[in-house]
Amino acid sequence: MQRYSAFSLLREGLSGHRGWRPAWTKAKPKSAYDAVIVGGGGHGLATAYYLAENHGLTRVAVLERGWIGGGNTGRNTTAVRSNYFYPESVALYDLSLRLYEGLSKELNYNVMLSQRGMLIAAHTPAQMEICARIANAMQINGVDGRLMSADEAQRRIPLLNQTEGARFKCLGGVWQGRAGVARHDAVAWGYARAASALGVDIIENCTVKDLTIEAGQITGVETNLGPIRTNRVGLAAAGATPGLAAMAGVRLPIHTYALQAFVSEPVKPILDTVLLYLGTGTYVSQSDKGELVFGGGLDRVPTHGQKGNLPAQETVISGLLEMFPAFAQLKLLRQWAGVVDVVPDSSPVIGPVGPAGLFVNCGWGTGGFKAIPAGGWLLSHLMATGEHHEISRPFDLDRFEHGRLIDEAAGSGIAH
Amino acid sequence: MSGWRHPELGDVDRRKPVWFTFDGQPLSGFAGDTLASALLAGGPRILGRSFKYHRPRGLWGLGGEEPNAILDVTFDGKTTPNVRATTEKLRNGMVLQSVNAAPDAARDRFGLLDLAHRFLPAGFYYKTFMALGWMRWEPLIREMAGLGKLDATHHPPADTPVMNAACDLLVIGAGPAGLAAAAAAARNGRQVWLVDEARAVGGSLRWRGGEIDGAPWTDFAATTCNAVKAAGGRILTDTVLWGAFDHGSYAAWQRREDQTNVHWRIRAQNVVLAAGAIERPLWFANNDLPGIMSCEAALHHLVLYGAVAGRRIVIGCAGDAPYAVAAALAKAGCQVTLVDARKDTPPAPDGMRIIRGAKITRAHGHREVGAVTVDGTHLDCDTVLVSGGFTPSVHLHCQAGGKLDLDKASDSLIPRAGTSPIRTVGAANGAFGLAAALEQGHAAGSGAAPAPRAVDRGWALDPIRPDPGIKGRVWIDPQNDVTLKDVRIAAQEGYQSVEHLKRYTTLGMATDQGRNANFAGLAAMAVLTDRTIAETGTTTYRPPFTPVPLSVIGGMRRGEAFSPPKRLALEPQHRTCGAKFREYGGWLRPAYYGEDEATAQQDEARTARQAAGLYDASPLGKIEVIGPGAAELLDFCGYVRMSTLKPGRARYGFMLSEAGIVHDDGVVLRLAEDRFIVSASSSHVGSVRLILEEARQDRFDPSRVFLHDVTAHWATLTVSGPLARAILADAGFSVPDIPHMSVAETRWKDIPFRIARVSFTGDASWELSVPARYGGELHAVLDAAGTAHGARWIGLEALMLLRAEKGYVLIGKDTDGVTMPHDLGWGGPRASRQDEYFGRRSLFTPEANRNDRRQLVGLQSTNVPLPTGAHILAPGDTRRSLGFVTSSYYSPTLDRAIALAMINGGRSLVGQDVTVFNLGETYLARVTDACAYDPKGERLHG
Amino acid sequence: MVERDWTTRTPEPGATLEAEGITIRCHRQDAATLVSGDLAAAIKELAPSAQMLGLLELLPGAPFALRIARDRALLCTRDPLASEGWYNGFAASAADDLYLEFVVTGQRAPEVVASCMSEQPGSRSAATLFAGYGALVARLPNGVSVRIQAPEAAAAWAHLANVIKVL
Repeated sequence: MQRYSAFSLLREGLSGHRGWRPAWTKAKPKSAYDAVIVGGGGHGLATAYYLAENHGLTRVAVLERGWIGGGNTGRNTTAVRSNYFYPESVALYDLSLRLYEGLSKELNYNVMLSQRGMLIAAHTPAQMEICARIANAMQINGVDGRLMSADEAQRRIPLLNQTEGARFKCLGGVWQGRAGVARHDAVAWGYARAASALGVDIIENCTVKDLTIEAGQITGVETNLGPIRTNRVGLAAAGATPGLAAMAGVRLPIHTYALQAFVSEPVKPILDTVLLYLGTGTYVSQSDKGELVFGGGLDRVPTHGQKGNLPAQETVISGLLEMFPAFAQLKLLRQWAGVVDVVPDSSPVIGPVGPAGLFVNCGWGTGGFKAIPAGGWLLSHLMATGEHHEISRPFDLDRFEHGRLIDEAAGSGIAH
Repeated sequence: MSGWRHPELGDVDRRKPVWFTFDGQPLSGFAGDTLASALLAGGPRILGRSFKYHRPRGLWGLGGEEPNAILDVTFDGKTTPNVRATTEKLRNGMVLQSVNAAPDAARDRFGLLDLAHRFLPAGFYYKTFMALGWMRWEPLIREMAGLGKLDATHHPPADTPVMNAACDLLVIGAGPAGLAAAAAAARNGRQVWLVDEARAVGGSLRWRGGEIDGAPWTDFAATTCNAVKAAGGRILTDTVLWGAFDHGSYAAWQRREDQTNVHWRIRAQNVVLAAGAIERPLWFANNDLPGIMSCEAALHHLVLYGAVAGRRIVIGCAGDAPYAVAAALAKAGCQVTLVDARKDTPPAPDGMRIIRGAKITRAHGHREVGAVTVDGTHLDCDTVLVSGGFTPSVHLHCQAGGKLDLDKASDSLIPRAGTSPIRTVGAANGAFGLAAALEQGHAAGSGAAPAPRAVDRGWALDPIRPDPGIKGRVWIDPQNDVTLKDVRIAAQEGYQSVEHLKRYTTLGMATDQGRNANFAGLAAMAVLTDRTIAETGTTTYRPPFTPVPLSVIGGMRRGEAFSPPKRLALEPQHRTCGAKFREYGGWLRPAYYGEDEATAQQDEARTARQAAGLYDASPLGKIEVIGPGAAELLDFCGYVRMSTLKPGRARYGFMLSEAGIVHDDGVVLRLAEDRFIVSASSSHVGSVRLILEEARQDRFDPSRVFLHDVTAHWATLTVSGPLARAILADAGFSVPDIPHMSVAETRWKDIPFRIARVSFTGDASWELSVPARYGGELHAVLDAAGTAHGARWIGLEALMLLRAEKGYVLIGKDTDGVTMPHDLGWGGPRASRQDEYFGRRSLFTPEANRNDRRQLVGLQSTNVPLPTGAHILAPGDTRRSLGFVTSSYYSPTLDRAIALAMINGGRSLVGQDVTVFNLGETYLARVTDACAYDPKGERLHG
Repeated sequence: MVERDWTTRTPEPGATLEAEGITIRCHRQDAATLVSGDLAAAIKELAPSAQMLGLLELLPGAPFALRIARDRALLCTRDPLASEGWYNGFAASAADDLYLEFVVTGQRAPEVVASCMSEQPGSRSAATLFAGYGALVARLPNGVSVRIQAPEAAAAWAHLANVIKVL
């Protein structure tokens, strides 16, 4: 892999940047692989990388129907965090956060991880009690969470509406210092480059049309570029996963909705942390370019259209302006939507399903970006060994049979 | 400064000078100017700095597509960042500040960055900043990023009203094509809404001029407007149609003179898009220098404002459109040289030089353009106007799902017919000529009579493409500093899909939303990767079409209007009694009465147990379930069977979710065989009704049972405590002697009067309900009688304390998303019911059967209440939580701290000590039964 | 915790908002009954002369019925019917104080309406969202009648007060 560094940038700068090689090889599909991953977003690419890096499996293909990172990985609001309630969730998301912490160096690609902290802010005593419950859960699970006072919140977020007329006065909340944001596209490209360098084939514009199964075992996939043989298939295609699983007769308890996100015109720095405000349901951070990146609740109509409609926009934006009245000076620059695959308990589904050799990593709903490294790590473990890693076991599909749901939204009192 | 004000041309009012400053420099313009026209006519050339290299930037365009003239504007003491100079009206006293420049645009320190440009290509930040970590560099990068500055003290008011509208035909754009469509449709009697973002109709006719049907275009515009109005339609100018949404719904932002903005939501049966086209730049070395402008923009500013771009002008093009511009400028007194890439051109207008078959290859100048090289020849100039073709504004068609095709004649991407509900006409459809625009618009308006006629001047053009082989720095995106070399690097590194190109280089992600950059980027990438434009693809278009103020979309939902709580009918009475209010479950309710919350809570709770407490229970849901199928419905939807309840009795029960989780609790009153009232906690009334309604419609015969939520019709006041009975007698009610957990309907002074003996406090309680309009009378009578017996009005804080003493749960506080009824000690129905009920199956999963589930218990500790949210630790394992404290108070009646908690296997731990952890500190506590007071419930019977 | 000061209030019957060309007055309903099921039978039994009205239909004098759903309506009468419970084929519940009525009149009343609700021509249900609140809307000779559930009336009233200032 051609190394990136300040030195290489300097060297290339002097020679017109003609020495940079393609970040990943645009491979043509081979007729067979040891493992095939469907879905070239962050999770799928991370899985491919870890299959090669952790498990030495390099005859691997990632099949992406469009351009890599073009799904939810390219459409989220870039927050990374592990401020969760259940120990199973904390283990999962903190594995991911720890991997994020070393990711730029490991992939030799700057994913621009900015651990600027995240505050889940409360405005009623009841919400502060919930925040205490979460902060304690985090501490017991060995993760950096603490309760933050109203004063400190005001100091860190000076523009937060604390005027007399404010609808919701911030009472403080639960703070995770290691939380923050990362550059979403860079995560996809970084994993793609590292995986490709290890020999993984990344195949874009390749749509899976069917799964071939013989005697209860996956034997390959049918694609628009022809058939590919394999006895291990991992589905990491977010909203498209249920449709793919259905090809193997597997029904997943997933509904898809549009989740909108918004970006304002860029201004000089005005917000230094990530904020989720329970009162309004709106979350916001400021990108390194100076744009405010924000979002809120789902468009509550099941869809695969990556669009969204006005009512949700009006709600999210009014929530943002209620929190930050000065932001009313800004203009909306871009709006988009991803298709979030929502599971009844708002926790992902990771594990084997249906025929032997078929695995899913999906159901991340609105929270998949922060989990990319962990999703890849855990799916690769499953595909390579056939067994769950201890961190992914609780998220197996069988939890619905056993009743062992991991309902973060209900457990923590916050919409996921 | 090379622009100047023509003595006569333009619609500005030269009798009314307007004074303003730019970067501290005093300047003036005229009434009618925009910021751009005033600056062009009399201000400096350098209006800002580019995003990355901080290169000087000057005015480029004429409208929303302007990428460079972005300013912070202070007016009336308030500053607004990132104002587009081309679309903002100039007002007296405005203070304009350049953005992204320190100290100002002319002298920006960071301009030195440009010297290092070789090392800062697109995406350079992905290749470095790893050794020390991104956060080491981030603060500096953030300081240098961003455009304008937010004014922390400026809180624009939330005063933008929404206006809803529906129309038969929505015509977007009031240029020639739009006017023709509107005219034709209006004459057919259709109701037309004609919308244009400029302050007057006409589109490009306003500066290009032209005759329609042999008369000045203004005649046609006027008759069209009259026809539209006569047919019941509407014309909105200064209005940007910015979003196309599902099911024919559209959003528009209207600016009004001396009034607020308006946020329009328009539902249109049919839509015609006539939004015109935007001029493309030319791609030569240093094409980003101030003084290089769009040709069309120069004509626009000349004709509308009398602002002339310069004096010694070179025009670069490969088409006919700039010829009229050249002629106008020459007539205005400029020295014009036309450089046309074509060998075969129209005749040169009088008074100018034309160089045929030649291209500008480089612009020269340190901070402004001073000369160009035209195929080897050096030409001095002070202004360069360019026209690289036109890009139709097809955004709304694409927002609505439409696809595009490359049209060879116009060299532009135009809508593929039938791929969206919108019909596109005129320049937006690649028809740049006046006659064609009128024809297409007319046809779209279903015009029967012949289309309006016009003489077309030539609009022929040769396609121009950025040439990756050209020497020098060629800008594709002037605001984000993306050059042709960056596109080459992106292609080389494999970021070849058009979306990857955009995200990797940030091309098209500036505030002009790619209107100036996207086609060039796409064309360059196509050339570099040896693909056609169609193969390379286009990026997705999403709302907003142009940046829209957040305040417009956010509307008036602010402060008290944001998610307001519901209000009690008796709120005035509670206020008179000194209540302090707080939100509970979506309602504004008395939290306590008096000045100090802690004292009041204790006093109220104590008094309630010693004498009596009075409180407002109105928000508790009252869902009437009526009909012969009522009992059956409730048996299915509830965890506790109600069909066995006798009329006149009440029973406590739960509603579960499908997952067996406790969704709500409440008391059901049976008034008759076929009439029940289900009470739901105040925040769950809606969801409980929906669960009942779903079962009613899907599982049962809906004609046999109906649900009426009449919560708000009744005012309910509760009297609770040992003296409650005496108070009721003194108040003059004739209360039937009914036992605890029963209900009676009677009358009080001929008013419907319902009495339920239900207790939330654990003391004997009577809930009295009257129609809300009589609530005040009831309140007065109870107040007098209660006070006489030493009773108090009590708020929610005291109430929550009282119920906690009894171990009564509050849904959502003591329960969460995993709590099942047997966790709360309510295992009876689970064990005994044989019939099917909602959530039943989930109560028998392996997880539900575990005996170490989190169970409701009490906790006793030292006299300081345990913190709510504290966790209970497993013995000897500080990394494992066994549960947490859900409610915690100091009980004035028991004179000690009490708490409720959900603990794994809690009931088997009763009597044992546990460690409680809170934010690093630990406490010891003893597990007890949840009920701390009167466990036999003797006080209920009073 | 210091609770914010709520300055909005549920309007008293008779309260008025005024702006140029707009008057909004708050009224208490005389009496009303929620009926579900066989609506024709309900009207025949309880108020035989009552007309069933959809969205923005002209209000006659009482009695009349505002249709809410396929099988539900609000039967508005002069006096309380005192007839609750199950009948043969329909159910009835007292609802006299469920709603407050806002009457919007004046030359610019149509602008208030346009701001608060979308056009749904011919809707057979009088129930719609008015300024974001569930409401039953009917027409008057010089304006509209809007029934808002009493607990939400304070918020709706305050919103209207703000809107008429900027329309």
